[in-house]
Amino acid sequence: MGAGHKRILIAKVGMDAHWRGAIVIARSLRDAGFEVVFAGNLSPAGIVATAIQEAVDYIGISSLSGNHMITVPPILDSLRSKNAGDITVVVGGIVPPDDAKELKRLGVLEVFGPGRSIQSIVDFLGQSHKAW
Amino acid sequence: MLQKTSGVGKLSKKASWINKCYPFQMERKSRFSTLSGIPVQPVYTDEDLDGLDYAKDLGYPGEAPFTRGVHPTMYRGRLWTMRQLAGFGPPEETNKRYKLLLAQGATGINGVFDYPTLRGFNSDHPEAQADAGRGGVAIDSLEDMMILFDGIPIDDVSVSLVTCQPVGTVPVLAMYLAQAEKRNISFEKLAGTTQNDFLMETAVTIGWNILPPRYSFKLSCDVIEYCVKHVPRWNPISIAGYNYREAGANAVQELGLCLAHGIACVEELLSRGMAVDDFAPRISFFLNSHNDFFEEIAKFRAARKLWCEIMTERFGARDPRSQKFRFHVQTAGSALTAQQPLNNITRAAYHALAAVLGGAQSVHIDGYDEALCTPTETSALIALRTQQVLQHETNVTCTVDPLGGSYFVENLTHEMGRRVTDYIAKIESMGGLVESASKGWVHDEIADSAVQYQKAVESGEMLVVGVNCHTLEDQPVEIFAQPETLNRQKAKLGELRKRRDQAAVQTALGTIREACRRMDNVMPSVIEAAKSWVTEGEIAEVFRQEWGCWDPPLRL
Repeated sequence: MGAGHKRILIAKVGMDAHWRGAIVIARSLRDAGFEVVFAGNLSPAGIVATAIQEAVDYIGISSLSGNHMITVPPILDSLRSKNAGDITVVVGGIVPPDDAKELKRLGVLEVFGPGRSIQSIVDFLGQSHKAW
Repeated sequence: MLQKTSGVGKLSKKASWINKCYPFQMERKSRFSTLSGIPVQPVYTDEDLDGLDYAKDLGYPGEAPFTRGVHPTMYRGRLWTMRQLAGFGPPEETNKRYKLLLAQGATGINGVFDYPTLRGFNSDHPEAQADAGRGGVAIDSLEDMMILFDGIPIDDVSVSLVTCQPVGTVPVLAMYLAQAEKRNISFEKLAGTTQNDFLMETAVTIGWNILPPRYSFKLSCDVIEYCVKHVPRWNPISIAGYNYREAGANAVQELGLCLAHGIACVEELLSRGMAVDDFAPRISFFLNSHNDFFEEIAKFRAARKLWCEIMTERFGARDPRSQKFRFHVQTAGSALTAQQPLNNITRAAYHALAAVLGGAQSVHIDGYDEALCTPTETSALIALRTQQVLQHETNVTCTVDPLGGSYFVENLTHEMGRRVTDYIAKIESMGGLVESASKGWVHDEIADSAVQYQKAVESGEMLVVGVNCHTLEDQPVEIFAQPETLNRQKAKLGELRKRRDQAAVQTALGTIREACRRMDNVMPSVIEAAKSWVTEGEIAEVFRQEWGCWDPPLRL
């Protein structure tokens, strides 16, 4: 356990405007010792650029609108093409099980659904940092 | 608090009884309180109503201060409107869902729009494409609006347009009005509501490229001013406490922000030279019904009393309609769980019962799959049937304000009123709601409460069935399949751009720009633009260009 000063970018992507989950997880990760960059709404390209500039270990995408199958794969592709594949991507929010499976196949490390305890997310991120 | 003061050294009857029967160790918890943190006592008696004056604090239904209800007959005269939210994909698909709900007994339309429409972007805008048709229906032009309401008797059924922020409200309402005009339905016949809440844009659901609070608020007041003068049966604003709550606010904050918002609107419209009784009857509200059953009922009752006091004492409103807090309720989406989703049917039914015992004018019940996806046809129908069971089978509609006079509910209503009044005073001491939002205070308030709520769930202090107790392995449920939207919208936009009169489009946009620069009411020019087939994104882009975008103070 323990965050060991890991850095994480928390962002929402596209027009999705429900920030409750994003801010709650961002504050909780900060309280657990993570260095958190809270970005608000960004485009997929903006997320990748910010993540590289801020030299984060993780990108956490909070998604409620259902746009994840369109917006998350370009983030993964762009990280690879910019040699930033060591940045781990995780997703939280409303993601149907089949989509979660597909996102994980494409390289998302984990998808955290509604009701998932914050502590379990903190523990998960504290322990695993998998480059792909 | 309403409470009898007892003589020094002498306990009241209730205090003696508590001392005798309620030693600390006999209770399950060290502290009982409402969700917003109001302490709840073991029992309430007539001692807790000391100081309550029936005529001054409650009154008869339909009479000031309207604590017991805004109409003398309430549900004996007319049942609440069953206004089930619907909207997804392209307008052709949502039109079918509207017709299904009306055919199954819904008594009003409650149309929700997709993220790009709410934020004033066309479906084919590069940043918007991923969200086209998500969370609501995509509307890009008057053509889409005509498809959306094709065959819907809008001169007979009231239509709520859940447009959230003013930047989307202005063009969407303009297209709705233009659509009515094309059908030769006069504006006088149109009954309905637009949400039109500047906090939605600037604090509660912040998106990409948003207008500064001052301008977003200006647009919302333009809509109110225009409708009061030209669309007399329209509720041009529905102050969205529901969404403040969903973002994290507690019940006190929800109502406090709502009423402070109402005050801000009244002040702005007065400053535009209007008389209070000319516009105040058209201001309406939208509240949440969450888990804490009695606190929610107390909130609804306190809301009516406080609004009446504000309107009469502060603004000198004479027309009883100006004094009436009329509200729509939606059951709390944030209280629903993705785990064991069928349990949400039960939750939403309790939420709706609280709304009805609190005297709501219209109600939406959430679909059980809300924490997973847009409601499927099955879940939308069950939600409507839950309303119908409540209306026809429970008999809760037989008498007005059935909980009036309950020691507990009256005490809680009073305490809620006291706390909300303090909260409003705090907002006013910072210069009012627009200023509080500009500074980020509203954002902090809501975010702090959201974090606190989550901590209570995490610690197990707040039990959520299926989440932190009584858990089961996840079971598969039917997930709503989003209909193809982007390509259909792109095709229509492409055709529209080719066939419309380009010079008329440019002239219409120029007129809107002029209105923005002069800070005139933009509505007349936007309605003209809608009729010239100017798209939603083009209209909103003028606002963004003229007034700039704002970096919201949403902080960690």
